[in-house]
Amino acid sequence: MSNQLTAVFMLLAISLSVLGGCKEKSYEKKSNDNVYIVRSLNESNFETVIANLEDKGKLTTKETFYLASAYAIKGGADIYSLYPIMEVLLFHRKAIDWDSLKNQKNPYVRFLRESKRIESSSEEKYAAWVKFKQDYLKFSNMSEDEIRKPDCKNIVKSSDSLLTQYCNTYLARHEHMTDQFFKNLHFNNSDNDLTWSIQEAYYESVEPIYDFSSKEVNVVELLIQLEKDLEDNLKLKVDFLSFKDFPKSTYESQSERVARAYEIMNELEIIHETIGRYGEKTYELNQKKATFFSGGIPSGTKDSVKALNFIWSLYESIPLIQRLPKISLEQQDDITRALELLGKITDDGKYRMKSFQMMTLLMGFSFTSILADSTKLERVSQPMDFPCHMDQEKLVQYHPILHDRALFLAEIAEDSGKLQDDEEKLLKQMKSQSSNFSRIMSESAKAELFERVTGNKALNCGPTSYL
Amino acid sequence: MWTNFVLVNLNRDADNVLMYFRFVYLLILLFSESVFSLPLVHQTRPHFSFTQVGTLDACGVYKGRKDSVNCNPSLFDSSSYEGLVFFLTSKTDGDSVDSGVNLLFEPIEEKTLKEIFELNAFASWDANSAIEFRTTLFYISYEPIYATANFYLYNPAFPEVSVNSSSQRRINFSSGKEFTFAGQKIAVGGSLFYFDRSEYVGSFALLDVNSREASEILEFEKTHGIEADLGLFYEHSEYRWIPKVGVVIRNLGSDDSIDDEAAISETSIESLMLYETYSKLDLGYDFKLDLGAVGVGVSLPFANVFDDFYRDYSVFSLSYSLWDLELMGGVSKYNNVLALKFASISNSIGIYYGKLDNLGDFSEVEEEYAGISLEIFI
Repeated sequence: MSNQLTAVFMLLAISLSVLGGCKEKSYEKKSNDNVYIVRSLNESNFETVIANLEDKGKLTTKETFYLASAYAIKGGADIYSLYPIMEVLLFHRKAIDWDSLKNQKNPYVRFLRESKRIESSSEEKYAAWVKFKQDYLKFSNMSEDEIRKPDCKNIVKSSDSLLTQYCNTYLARHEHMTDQFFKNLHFNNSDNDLTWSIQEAYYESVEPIYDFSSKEVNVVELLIQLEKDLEDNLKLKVDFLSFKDFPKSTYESQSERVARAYEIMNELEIIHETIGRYGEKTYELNQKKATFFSGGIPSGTKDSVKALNFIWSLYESIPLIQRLPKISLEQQDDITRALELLGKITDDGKYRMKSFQMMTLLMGFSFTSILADSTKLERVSQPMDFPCHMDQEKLVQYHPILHDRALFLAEIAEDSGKLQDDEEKLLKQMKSQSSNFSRIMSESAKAELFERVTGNKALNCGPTSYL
Repeated sequence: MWTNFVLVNLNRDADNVLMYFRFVYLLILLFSESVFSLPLVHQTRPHFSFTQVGTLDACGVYKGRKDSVNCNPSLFDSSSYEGLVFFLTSKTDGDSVDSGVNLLFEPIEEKTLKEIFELNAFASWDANSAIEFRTTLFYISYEPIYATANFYLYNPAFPEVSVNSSSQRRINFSSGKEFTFAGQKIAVGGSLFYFDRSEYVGSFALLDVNSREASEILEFEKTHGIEADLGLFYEHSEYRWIPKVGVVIRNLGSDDSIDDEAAISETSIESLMLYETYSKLDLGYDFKLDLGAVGVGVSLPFANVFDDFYRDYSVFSLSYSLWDLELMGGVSKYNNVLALKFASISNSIGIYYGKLDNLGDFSEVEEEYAGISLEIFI
């Protein structure tokens, strides 16, 4: 019996020593409300999430993100509707099945796919240039004399050596700057974040004069140099007008001295006018020449190229956009609410990147839905066709949404602190115009929009836009 | 076999990020359950034998089996086999195999993503393998691979993937001794092991997959070290009504710990009783019948060295053996398993089937799983 007692005692001792003083530990679902929130999100049960969180009062960053997610789902922007985009992003699927374009009747697309760029020798280019120049002058009603480089001996009537010297200096500066301007003025690829490969292929195929592989030029530096040269010019001019080279002793009277000064001023005006006119007449021709021989794109077309890129990207995305769902105006409001919530949490380091990523996704989704709904995409056959197939009624309908998105984008872009100079300028312009940018269009603004869209269709699109 | 097929294909495109993430998706589909966060108890753990899998590790008092020493190192003396053993086990959810094959080799459809979120948000997979050499004095085992991969996909508005994944190699030395006095038996034993582990616990947004390399997203942390298991066993030979008692402390010296906040977080996955120090008290009986033998056991797990009691993870186990056939089962709040093992002189084959709430109280839908194990004795 004692053995039995010993055994029981040992058993109890072991058990109690193990269990004694132990507290229970369990991980229970009820201890974390967010478990239900995430489950509801996964089930696309946005009403529950919105009802729970909207009434909660002050939300944590995480809860704000979940609430924004619920509104995004309510607005139709979830993994299911964004699937075509995710498919491209995650699984590297092609947005366009290029092979399926072989049977397209659109010659534009076929040309893009199958044409080859024709290389020309310098001699061929020069011969082409001479022929072109002749025809250009003829049809522009210009003579060779108008574009011939002026001779200062002919411009300066008084044969004043100082004026001739000034004229030659001014002309030389003008020539040098023009030369530099056109010689170096190629499009600067690095300024753009857009993808170039497809556009490059397109331009190289369609327009051999564009060459995106050309060397980069810093346009900003060039403009600084231009300003500096102008300053120097002005200084030279002021020196003349300060009469320092016309001492009183040289002239018999003050009136004679002033008369001489006026003569010089007149001569200077003639010099500037002549050289300026020469510059104006030759500018367009020089631009064409520079573009043709260098293969670059003049800086004046930079914004146009950006716009072209945008339009091309849209054009390329048509199949993708058509696969995305069109969301209602009410759902657009939900997207607006989601964006507002996300905008509030961008200061939180942990959620900053996620918020920006989601905002980008939502903005893109919202815009593409508006585009798809307000444009007959199935009728668009060329990149420049978009305005031809826009529905002005729908544009008016979407105006408040576009207004909200534009202002929100401006705010977020500013907060991001990553704007380039030209983007900051654009932002400032947007802000300065925002006071005139009303959320609700006035009747006159509507009429103006209708006029513009209809006018554009009539003048630039043809009857196709009335289909 | 199917896993091998996947691995072969993965090796072929080892640097192919696309393939890698398809594999992630595959895992999500393949081993899936719809559950919500997230203390995770693994079906298979390092140095796990078939008896442990078949009884949910409630086998600390089951003496006399070939693999008793795995259940409790103090049962070393009672382990009845000497020689070489090869062991391999893996848990899978067979229902998703077809989906997985489709995911790898067929175009990914929108409905696939829908299934992931609505039906199969959580996926888990455990596998273990070992080569064991047993003598009367000691036992050495080498586990070339223990792997666990768990994925949880959430928030369809901004999809993110929570990952808890690790792989480990381990070499293990065990021994023990049983003492008898006054009709009572007390056994002590221990295991000392060296491990080399890669582990990733974290989450990433699906959109990151587009902008970052896989290696940047999944930065596995590598650790290695020496840890120990300790075991104690008590049995009264005369008074059979007194239950046998087993005490096991695992991973002594481990730097790992449970992050309580992460364990109740709605999104992160925190493993329980895997690499951190934990302990358990086993109580049970063995009955020899005219036809076969019956074993009954209860296992009570604790955090650290008998610190907080994990009541929800207590297990009741049963076993019945007859000749070369053994039937086992384990019942707990979140996991129930039934296992059958056929053993011969040269090998044993075991199969098991179970239903599991992988994430405990956070689970909504039970996962059905099945597994197979193979032992070859030389």
